[in-house]
Amino acid sequence: MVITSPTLFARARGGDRYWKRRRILALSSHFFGRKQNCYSIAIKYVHRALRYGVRARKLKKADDRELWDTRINAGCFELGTKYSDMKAVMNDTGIALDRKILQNMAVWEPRSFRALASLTKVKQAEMGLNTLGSPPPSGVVTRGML
Amino acid sequence: MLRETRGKLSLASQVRGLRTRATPAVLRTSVQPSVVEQEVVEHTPEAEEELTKYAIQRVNDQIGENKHGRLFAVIYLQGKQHLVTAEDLVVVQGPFAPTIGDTFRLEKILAVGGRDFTLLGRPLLHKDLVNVEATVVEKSLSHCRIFFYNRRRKNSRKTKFERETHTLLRIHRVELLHKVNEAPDIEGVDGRIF
Repeated sequence: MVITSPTLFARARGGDRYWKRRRILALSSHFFGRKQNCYSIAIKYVHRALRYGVRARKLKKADDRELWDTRINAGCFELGTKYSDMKAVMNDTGIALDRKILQNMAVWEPRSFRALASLTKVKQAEMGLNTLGSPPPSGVVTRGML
Repeated sequence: MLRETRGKLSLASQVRGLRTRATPAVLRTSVQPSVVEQEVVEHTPEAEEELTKYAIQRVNDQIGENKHGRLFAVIYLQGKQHLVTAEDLVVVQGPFAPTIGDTFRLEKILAVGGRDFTLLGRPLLHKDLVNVEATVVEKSLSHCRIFFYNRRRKNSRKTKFERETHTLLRIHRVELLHKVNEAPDIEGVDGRIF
């Protein structure tokens, strides 16, 4: 028997249960155990993972900043200063390089970073700070202009 | 030495008698001058000027002969700083007017440097000192970021999908236009359309 016309006022409700579950299971394909294949278990962990993702995107900024601070401080200690001193001197002289750039320079442009560290030591010596340790490096001339 | 006891004095009272009489603190009327160590700081402005001139001369020689090699520049773009050299790709997030193929000059340079010298701006270098040119290579969308908020067991759930525009710039030139301390008389005029 051939049906030539659709049933009158018939509704096609829902019918996308499979695809709804597919959307969740696609996000759980890297989970361990039944969490990756069984929908009613997976949905809880997928929701948790998505919530963690939202939270982590905010925290990543603070984490990155902390890592950069650590790197810059490490570079400064290697060269005989501190990041807090370097910050103060950069503020004084008007050098506006931010943390991302400073940590990049500490790793990939060591001579430029060393120049900044030498500048902090000399400027601090001019102000009379941190003079009990080693004398400031030679070859740095400010002529009172910096 | 303890006095011979007659059997009535205690040890403490015997010892008390051995103590010397307390003398009042002697005030020193005259202070002996101690050896004062002074550090003689040599102020040699001529030597400093010589050193400055020598350093700038060395830098200018390299710039004049183009022997500095590959230069890096710290550019300020859309509120963010990027350390770039030639052939680098920079991703600009968010709305950015230039379209694919547009070449423009990045003017806010915070620092420029090479193997042997670095020029730091306070906070920016002069516009006519450095030339950093970039071309827009790609205008696409970022990956889909899912913003999912769920209050468990409270029937409260919200999902948001966001893709922001990413513009990829190719930096194809970082070069110094004139020597240090030899800026042109009128700056900021060349190449401007008024």
